[in-house]
Amino acid sequence: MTSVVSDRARPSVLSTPAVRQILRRNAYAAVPLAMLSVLFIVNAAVQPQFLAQHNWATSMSVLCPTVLTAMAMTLPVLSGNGGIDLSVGPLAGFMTVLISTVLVPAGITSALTVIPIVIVFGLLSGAINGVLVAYVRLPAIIATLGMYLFYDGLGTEVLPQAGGSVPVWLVKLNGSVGPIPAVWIVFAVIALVWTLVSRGSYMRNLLAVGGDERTSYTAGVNVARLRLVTYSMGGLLACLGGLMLTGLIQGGDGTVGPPYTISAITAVALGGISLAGGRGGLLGGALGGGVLFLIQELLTDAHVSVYQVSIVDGIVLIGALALNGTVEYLRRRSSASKR
Amino acid sequence: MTDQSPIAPADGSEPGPAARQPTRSTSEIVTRFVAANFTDALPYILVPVLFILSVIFIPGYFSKLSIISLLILASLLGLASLGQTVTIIAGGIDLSIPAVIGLSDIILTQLYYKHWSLPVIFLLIAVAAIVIGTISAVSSVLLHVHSLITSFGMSLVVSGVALEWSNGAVNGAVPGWLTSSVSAIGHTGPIPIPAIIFVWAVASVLAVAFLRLTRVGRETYALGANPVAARLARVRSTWTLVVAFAISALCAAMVGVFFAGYSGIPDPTVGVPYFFLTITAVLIGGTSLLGGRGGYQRTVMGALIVAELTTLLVGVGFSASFQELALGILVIALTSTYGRELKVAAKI
Amino acid sequence: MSSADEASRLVMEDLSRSFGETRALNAATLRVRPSEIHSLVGENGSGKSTLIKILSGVLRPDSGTLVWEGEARHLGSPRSAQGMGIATVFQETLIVPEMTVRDNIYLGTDGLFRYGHRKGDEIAGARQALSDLGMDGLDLDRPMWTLSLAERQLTTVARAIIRPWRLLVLDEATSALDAQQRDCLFDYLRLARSQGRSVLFTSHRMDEVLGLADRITVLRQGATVATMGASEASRRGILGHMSGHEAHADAVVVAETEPRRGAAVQQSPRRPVLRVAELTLRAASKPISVEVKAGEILGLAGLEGQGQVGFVECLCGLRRPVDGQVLALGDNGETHIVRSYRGANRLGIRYVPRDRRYEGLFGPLSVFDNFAITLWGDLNRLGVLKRQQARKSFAGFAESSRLVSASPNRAISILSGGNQQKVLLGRWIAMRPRVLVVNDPLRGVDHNTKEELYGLFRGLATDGVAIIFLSTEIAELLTLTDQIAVFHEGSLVAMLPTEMSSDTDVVAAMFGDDKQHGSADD
Repeated sequence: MTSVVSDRARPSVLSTPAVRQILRRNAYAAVPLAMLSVLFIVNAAVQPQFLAQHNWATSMSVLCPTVLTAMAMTLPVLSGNGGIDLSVGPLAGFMTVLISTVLVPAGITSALTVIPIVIVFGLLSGAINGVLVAYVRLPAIIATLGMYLFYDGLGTEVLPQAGGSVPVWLVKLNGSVGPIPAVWIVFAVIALVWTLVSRGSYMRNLLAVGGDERTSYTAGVNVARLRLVTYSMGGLLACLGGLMLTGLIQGGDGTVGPPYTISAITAVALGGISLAGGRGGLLGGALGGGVLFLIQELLTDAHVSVYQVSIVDGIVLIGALALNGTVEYLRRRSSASKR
Repeated sequence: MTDQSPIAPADGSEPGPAARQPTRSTSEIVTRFVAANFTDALPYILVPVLFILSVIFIPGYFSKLSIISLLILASLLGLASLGQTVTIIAGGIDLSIPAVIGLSDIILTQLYYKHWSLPVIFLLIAVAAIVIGTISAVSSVLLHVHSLITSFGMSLVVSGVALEWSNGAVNGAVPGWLTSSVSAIGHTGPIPIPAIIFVWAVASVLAVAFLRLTRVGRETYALGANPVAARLARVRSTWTLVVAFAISALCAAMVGVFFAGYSGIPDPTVGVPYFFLTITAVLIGGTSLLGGRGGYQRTVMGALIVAELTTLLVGVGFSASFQELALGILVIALTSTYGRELKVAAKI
Repeated sequence: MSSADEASRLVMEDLSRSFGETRALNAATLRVRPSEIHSLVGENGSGKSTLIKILSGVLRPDSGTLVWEGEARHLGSPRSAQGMGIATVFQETLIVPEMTVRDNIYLGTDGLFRYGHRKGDEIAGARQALSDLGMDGLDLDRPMWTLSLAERQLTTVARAIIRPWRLLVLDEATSALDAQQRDCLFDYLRLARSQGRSVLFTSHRMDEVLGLADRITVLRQGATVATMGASEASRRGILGHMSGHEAHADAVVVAETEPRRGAAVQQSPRRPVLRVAELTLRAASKPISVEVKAGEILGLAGLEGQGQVGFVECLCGLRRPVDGQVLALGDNGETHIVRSYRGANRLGIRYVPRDRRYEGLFGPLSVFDNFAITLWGDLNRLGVLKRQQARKSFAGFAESSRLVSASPNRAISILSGGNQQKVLLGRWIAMRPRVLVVNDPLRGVDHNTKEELYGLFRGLATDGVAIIFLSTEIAELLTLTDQIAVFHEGSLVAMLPTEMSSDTDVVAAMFGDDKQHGSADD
């Protein structure tokens, strides 16, 4: 029996409106954050070297493409209406091919030229997805499936196995700057940009469109344009992941991409993000990627065979969804009983 | 993934007297014409068109051997896509098909090599398939999560198991008649057509009958169209989904058995290309991912189209990678003509 | 432009719009003046919704002109309509459940990346709007899904009024509100009118139309058939225009003054088929005990959120009561407790849900499939369907309910709302219920279809089916039922015999004894 009059007696200091809003906005990330913490501790306990400084850079650079592709997947999922981007993996894989076999041989090796090219390519390929989903109105899974096949085919056509060469600075980006893994700088830049973006109305519009697109449309949101922008940003993040991946494998390889699509889906599920859209945030994608990474680290430490890793991945995925889905179900149920 | 199906706005307009078609922009007229006349028919038209193109561009294509090879390819894909059709109509999707194919390939080759009796092996495969499908379906219902994810999770588990089992194994064996059943020069009794094609034909008829004439079949459509209304209308939601996924797993297992016959060696990754090909066949055939509509006869066309395309591209000299690239473009192009969703405005 | 046009704020002229073969609007016209509350009336299929969708920018007309404040305009999207000063509240309560009240109100006012208003302004503006609508003190940070249906609907109204509007379009915007909330809204509208602004509203409730409107436009089959000042309008006249039959209008009036059902029917005493024993809906509500006999039509009434929906759900097993039981009584006196939805169905209790779009219709399926879906459980031999029998059953029902449909194999989406509802009712009636529980089945159904369905229900009752009929329209309850059970705060506060009760009696009971009752919620 909720009363219309708001409760005025609120004892806790934590309940100032600003703090409450931040907590509410990121409430979905509670579970993945908890999982991340637990896994971190377990990893450190099982394998003390995990914490050793010289390992940080390696861990981070392995982690990086996973997290970036997970974040790339997050935005389309948030936009609702079955939003998803299956092409993130092959797109990242294609980046390795592009850099190592097209740009470098053509003499384009400087960071100042390569990075902008990657950014533009990412935005454009994301925009193609966006146009297909928002304007041609193909179901996202079909449109991005088509692009998945396109980039996978293109990548493996050009470079069916590892090859090509990489600019030195890119390899260095996967190393350390002093004691700090350089990847942290990359993450910091992205976090900064994203903080600026999320201060604006984009997130509100995105979550609204993902939550109920008809309401958003009639309220005056340009739904198609928002989705176009969303997929473009997703493409950008995927290509940044591809950039870092190139440095990680120190070359190009048309076959490394597809597994990242799979890990991105898992990471999104692990990140507390609603697969129907409208609930979650970029932080969740990042956390989910981190959780996935730690799980794999743990399995490696336990000398579990590659195949058993696959089994555990599957169980983890279902488990994560159990959590994710049950929470949503319970909340919806409690709302329905108020009638 | 699947939203509430955007029911066409029932704005209450009574079907009034047929009015003169109002003037519209040219592009709208063309789209409407295409949509109205070609939408349903396009897959059926493409099959012969692609065949003719293949005959033109590939020397020696119009031979019994090529055609049978094509049909074998289509049969394998068609069988694998049978279950996928049902799960998609039910509003779900089965991503565990390649894993089950691989597992059944392994089970057959390994156990037959160890001289297990064939009926027992088949029984074991069938039971494993049913269990896998049931878990995908039940966990989807219990966890309130789309079966895309649960079946995907199952695929990770199953492929892990298959890989683990086959780890390092190079020996395997399959019965001779099985190899013959997928061979282009195989015979079914006196008829010079490999058995798999008959199997597919029979399975197709059964599938279409199942979806049209049985209670579970109708309830599958209802479940995909509107799960909430289905539950209220006494549709056995969980059972229907379990049946859909069990069928899908059984079909995948069957295909795995045939694949084993094809190659003779244990290969747990043999189903990997089918990760998306089954969805492609279903979609190209014109069954909507939204659920609640379509049918297997369309997937038959879809499988034929995909098989023809693959053959055409290979025949003309394109590599597998290029085929994949072309397939990607084709999926997008085809779905743009008959798979477009409603505008947001139209859903209000 | 005629002088009449010059005086108008909005002129929609010769508007036509078709959907495939169906002509939804046929050269319709509408003129709304400044300082005017204008009512748009018409049955389902008259083109009202289409016209409103055009006005709000959701749809584009095939032909015709729209002149807004003297200039011809094209409304390309909801955003452009809002930019011109036209704010619309749609029939369906459109909210984003996960977002807060404030976000829902200010949704759409921003650019893609930049906010349209500062946060402080949003809070102040939202509070003001809610206050104007009588919802003071609603916590702006509450997620929408925690609000009642009425609060949600008022929030969508708030969303419309925070923009600088000069024409407010309300499409059945009062459907979820109780009488008090409605009055508050109407006061706001009258105030806006006195400030020079215009309102266009649609309603199925004649008392609202006659009580609020300055002028009334009647649509029928997509065309404007009449425009009149409120002073010239009469209930009978309006209904006549809507249906096109003067005689029909008479019949309607007669039907409403016909002796109530209870008095007219003479029947041998029927045995009870359903007993509610000490049912408690909520922690603080009083236990409810009721018995329903075969052939009886029991009406359920109450302001929104007062428990009648919860009661209905307990009857059909969708909800467990806090305490008490629902018992189905067999022919031989045996009793069975209703424990689940499945169980209730097995006992012959059938439930027709309220929201046909989300709880009833299988959009892509055919009319026949929508009808027969419940029958397959019984009409099958080892899983294979007995289609012939089902088709016969359908044909029989189509005839008895005068279902207008091209072919039963066509998609159900082409039928009008009223005919769709018939099919959905048929789904349950074909299962030969002992008890039929219907949750506001005739909401949004046009007048003619309503009359046909009243006949259907009466026929069922004569055959011995007990009907529990929840409705938000008191007139409907008074016409159709034997008794009316009125709910208030989760308890049954009155059981009014229909033949001896009036409109006022029911409304009085709905308000209970508590005069300081605020906006209805639970």
